[in-house]
Amino acid sequence: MTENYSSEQETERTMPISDDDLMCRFQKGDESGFRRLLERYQDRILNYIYRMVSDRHLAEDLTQEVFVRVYVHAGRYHPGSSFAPWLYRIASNMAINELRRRKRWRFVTINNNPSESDRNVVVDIKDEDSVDPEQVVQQKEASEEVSEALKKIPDKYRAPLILRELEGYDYEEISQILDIPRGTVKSRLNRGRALLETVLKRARSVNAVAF
Amino acid sequence: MNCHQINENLSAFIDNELSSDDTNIVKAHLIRCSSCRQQRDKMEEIGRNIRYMAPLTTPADFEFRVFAGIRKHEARRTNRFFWRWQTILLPAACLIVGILLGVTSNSVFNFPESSLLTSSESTVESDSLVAVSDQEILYDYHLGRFARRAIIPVAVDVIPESPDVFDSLSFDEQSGFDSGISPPPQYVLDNIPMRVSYERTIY
Ligand SMILES: [Zn+2]
Repeated sequence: MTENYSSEQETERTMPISDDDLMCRFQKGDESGFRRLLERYQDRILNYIYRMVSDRHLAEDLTQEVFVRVYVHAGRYHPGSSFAPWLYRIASNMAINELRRRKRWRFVTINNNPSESDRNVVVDIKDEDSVDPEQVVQQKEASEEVSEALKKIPDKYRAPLILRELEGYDYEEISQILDIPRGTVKSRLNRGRALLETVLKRARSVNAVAF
Repeated sequence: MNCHQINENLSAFIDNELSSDDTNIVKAHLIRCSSCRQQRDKMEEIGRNIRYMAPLTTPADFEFRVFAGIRKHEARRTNRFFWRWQTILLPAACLIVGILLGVTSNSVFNFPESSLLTSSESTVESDSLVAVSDQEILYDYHLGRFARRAIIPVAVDVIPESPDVFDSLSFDEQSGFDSGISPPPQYVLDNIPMRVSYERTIY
C-alpha cells in the first residue's frame, strides 16, 4: 500500500494528473480530486464570469456557485470526456442565466455617461519598468477600452469572444460549451469582432470630441 | 472570393479555423488587398487587447466559501428530503389520529392561505415591482418547525426583457442545472442599483 502511494507521488511529480483523473477520483469519493480542480480553475472561471457579468462581487458569488454545482452534480460528469468544457458549460449557464434574469429587472439608465470611467484609467507601471513604460501605458489603455467595449456588445457575441480570446478554446470546444453549432460559433465570432471594432471606433470619436 | 467574402472569413482565418484551401485563398487575397489586411490587423489587435485585460484572482478565503456553499446545499437537500417525508407521513398520521379520535384534522402543517405564493414564474409590475422568483421549504431551527421561505427581488423602473438576445444560447433546460436560488443581496452597474433583493421568511 505504502509503495503504491509513493509511486503515485512520483508520477505526479513528473507528470501532472489530468483533470479527468482528478474528477474520477472525486467521483470515487476522494475529495482531494475536487480541491485540486478548484485550485486549478477558480481564477479562470472567475475571469470568464467577470467578463460576462462585469461585476466583481457577483462574479465571485457565481464562481463559488459553479464549484458548488461541480461538487453536487459530479455524478453527471462522464469519465473520459474533457472536464474543462463541462466546467465552462456550467459557468456559461450560470452567467447567461444571471444576465437573463438581470434583463428582466433592467433599469432604465438615466445618466448614460460611461465614458467617465474611461478617462479615469489608473495606470500602475511599478512592476513593469523593464519594458517601455509608454508602451505599457498604451497597452493598458487599449485593454481598458476593449474591456468597456465588451460590456456593450450582446452577450451572445461576448461569450464566444471571451472563450476564444481569453480562454483559448477552439471552435469545436466553444460549440460544446455554449451548445450552439460550430457554424454559429464562426459567424458570431466574426460578427462579435466587427461589433467590438465599431463600438471602439465610436468610443474613440466620442472621446476625441470630449477632449 | 471578393473582399466581402474574405471579410466574412477573416475571423476564422486568424483563429486558424479555416480549411487549408480557404486559408490559402485568404492568404493570397491578403497579399494583394491592403484594406482586408488592415481589417485583419484590427481584429488581431482587438484580440491582443482582450488578452491583456487585467486579470482577477479569487480572494484568499475562496475555497472556504465554496465549501460553505457546499455544506449549505447539502443541509438544504437534507431538509427537503425530510420535508418530502413529512408531507407523506404527517397527513397519514393526522388521518390515523383523526380516525382514532373521530375528528378530522389536517391543519397541523397547513400554511395560512395568504402566505401561499406562486413559485418560479416571476411577475413584474411597473410600480410596486415585487416579484417572487423562487420559494422553498426550510426547517427553521429557531422556530423549531418548517417554514416557507420566499426570495423576493424588488426593483424599480423595469423595462421588459428582449427575448431575441438569447435566442439560440441554451440555458438550464438542456443541462438540467437550475438557476441559483438566492441571488446576491445587491449589485450595482454603472453606479446605479439595478436590483435589490432580500429574503423573507413567510410562515
Ligand atoms: Zn480585400
